[in-house]
Amino acid sequence: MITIMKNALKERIRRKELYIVVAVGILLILLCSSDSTSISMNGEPLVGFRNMFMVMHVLIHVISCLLAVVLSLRTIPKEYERRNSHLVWVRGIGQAEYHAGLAAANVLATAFSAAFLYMVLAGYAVAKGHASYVVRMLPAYLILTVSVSIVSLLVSVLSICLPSMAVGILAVLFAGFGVLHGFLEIFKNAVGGAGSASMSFLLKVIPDLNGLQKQAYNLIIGERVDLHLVWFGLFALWVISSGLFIFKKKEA
Amino acid sequence: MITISNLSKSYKGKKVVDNLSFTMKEGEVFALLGSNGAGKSTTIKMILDLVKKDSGEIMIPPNTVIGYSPETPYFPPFLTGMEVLSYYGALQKIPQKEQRETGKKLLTLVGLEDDSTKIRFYSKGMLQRLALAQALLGDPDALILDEPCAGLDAMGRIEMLNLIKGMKKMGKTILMNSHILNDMEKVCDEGIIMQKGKVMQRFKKEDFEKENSLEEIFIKAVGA
Repeated sequence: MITIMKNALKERIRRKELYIVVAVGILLILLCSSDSTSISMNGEPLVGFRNMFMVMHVLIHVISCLLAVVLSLRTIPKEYERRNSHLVWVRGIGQAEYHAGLAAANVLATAFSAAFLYMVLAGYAVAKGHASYVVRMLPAYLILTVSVSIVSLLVSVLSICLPSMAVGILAVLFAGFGVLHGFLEIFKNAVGGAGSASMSFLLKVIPDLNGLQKQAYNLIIGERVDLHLVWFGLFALWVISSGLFIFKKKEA
Repeated sequence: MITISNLSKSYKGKKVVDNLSFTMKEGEVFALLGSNGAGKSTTIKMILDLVKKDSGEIMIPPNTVIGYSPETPYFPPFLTGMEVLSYYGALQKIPQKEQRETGKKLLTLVGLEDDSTKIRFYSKGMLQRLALAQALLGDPDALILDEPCAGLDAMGRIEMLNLIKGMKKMGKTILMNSHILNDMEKVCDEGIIMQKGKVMQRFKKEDFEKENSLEEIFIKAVGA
């Protein structure tokens, strides 16, 4: 599995979309960190390091989730299109191990990209005189990684059994619901009937990715961390990863 | 060495391999001939367990190592030939120390001595030769070559056929699938001609060495 993962990871590193999305992400973060930027919330301009740091943290999370979708969407289908799988299977390696190796490469590629963005954020904190944040950013990064890994792993698992277009749509919906979890919790009460019921169901099933992001942020700024959400995230990862062993391609 | 008996496979109710039986003898080249859609590739995939058979038996002696070279080999373009062999060697659990040594030996054997060239600079012939090299990892007893000469120019085909002859001399049992009859005539010992999944004709080397060319046997068999 490690051999497959290493090889797939090498290929991810060579894919251009990784660099493009990371570059765009860094650009966005740098724009936010500029002193001349004026972002407002409820008509009130967001000023000060703490507010800007929070906005940038949310932005990193959203970009990382997008990256998870982009980097994981075509990995497994591409291997089948190229018939690469044949040369692996004739060597006695099962589908589950093969898919697990490829999915692990997707998760790692996404985590590395998120780490790049986090490093930019760390640079911003240091530049603004908050070097103490940097130490706490390491465990916070691990929490954030749980969130982006959930998206990456889900996309990988779905790509075994569904066409890429369907996986893309589902993944964006999943990531969207996960990232906007808090907002949708409020919104669902405003919608009545079947809409509210289906939204409640989706919010129950889809992990609170925004909650995980918030816990990572809380850890950095020294506020209380709700570990329950982190455990739930890890549990979600475990449940999704079981799909690697359940779903199989019919035939090569 | 490998015996196939009454092998059948259908896709959506259509029989693609129908009651197929043949035996590959040790150290010989066995040819699977037929037009496109005759069921050659499906047969190969069933032997390799890449496709499940509907019925029939595939008898392979225990501990037989089989090497496989696909029809359209794809290798990551950013790797070198040596890196590709190391990758598949690692999947085959060949110890790391041996990987480089074996890789070098195999690359030399297939005429790809320059192991620093990236795959993206490989010609079609070089790719096919690399595919053969990866099939030889782990010193297999039998080789299954799916259209090894497909898409190759005259020189590439000559080189590939010489390599196959070399493998035969090394004592490898080879199952080869092709629709290039001239190529098959040069290397095979016996074989079958398939059409719509069925065996239309069995032949031995002597058959086309004495009076008929393989082309004549083929035309007679498929009724073209």
